[in-house]
Amino acid sequence: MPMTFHHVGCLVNDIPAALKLYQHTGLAAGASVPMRVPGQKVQVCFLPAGNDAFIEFVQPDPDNAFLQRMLRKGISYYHVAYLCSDVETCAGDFVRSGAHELNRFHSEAFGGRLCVFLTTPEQLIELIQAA
Amino acid sequence: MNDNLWAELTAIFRETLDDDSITLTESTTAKDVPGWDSITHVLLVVAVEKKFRIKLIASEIQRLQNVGELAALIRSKRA
Repeated sequence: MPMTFHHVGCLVNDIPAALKLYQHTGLAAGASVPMRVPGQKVQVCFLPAGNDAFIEFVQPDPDNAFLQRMLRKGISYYHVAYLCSDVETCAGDFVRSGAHELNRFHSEAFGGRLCVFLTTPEQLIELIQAA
Repeated sequence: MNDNLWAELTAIFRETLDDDSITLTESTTAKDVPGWDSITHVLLVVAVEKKFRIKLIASEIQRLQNVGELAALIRSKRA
């Protein structure tokens, strides 16, 4: 199952405010332009973290009940994401290991490629179809 | 339904949906609970698995018609 780590997702109330923490580190200069992902009711911004890995700042829309609940509970870092050569096979492997598929969508943040979220009682995993 | 199971299920729903006003009955369905959408449904399943230390498979979950049937499934898994 070829898959490589891509990013860790971090919930924030405000992406520009979150980026300010990194303003003197040099990393913020490489941040992507914040992008709306309407299907997921979020805005996202990718901050390079070295070794081809990123922090994904995720700012949920006011009507995104799921992520707004997590924010209210004080949850910040909440998922890890992997690039997969075959996202369907990877998702099947996780389901066989006990994960539940949460949702799947074609993400504007990844050029319309298929993404799948899976969850267990303790982990939230995003799989992204590699280009 | 066992009162303790009922209380534990209610606590799971209230925690997952962040709504302390939720009151469950045997016939409660997703239509009766604001915010109980497809994503929340999976989160409820995962929370039930964790709380009761059981494993629910997709076919079992898809057959559930209401909270009473969920409770019965939990009981059968714990038996």
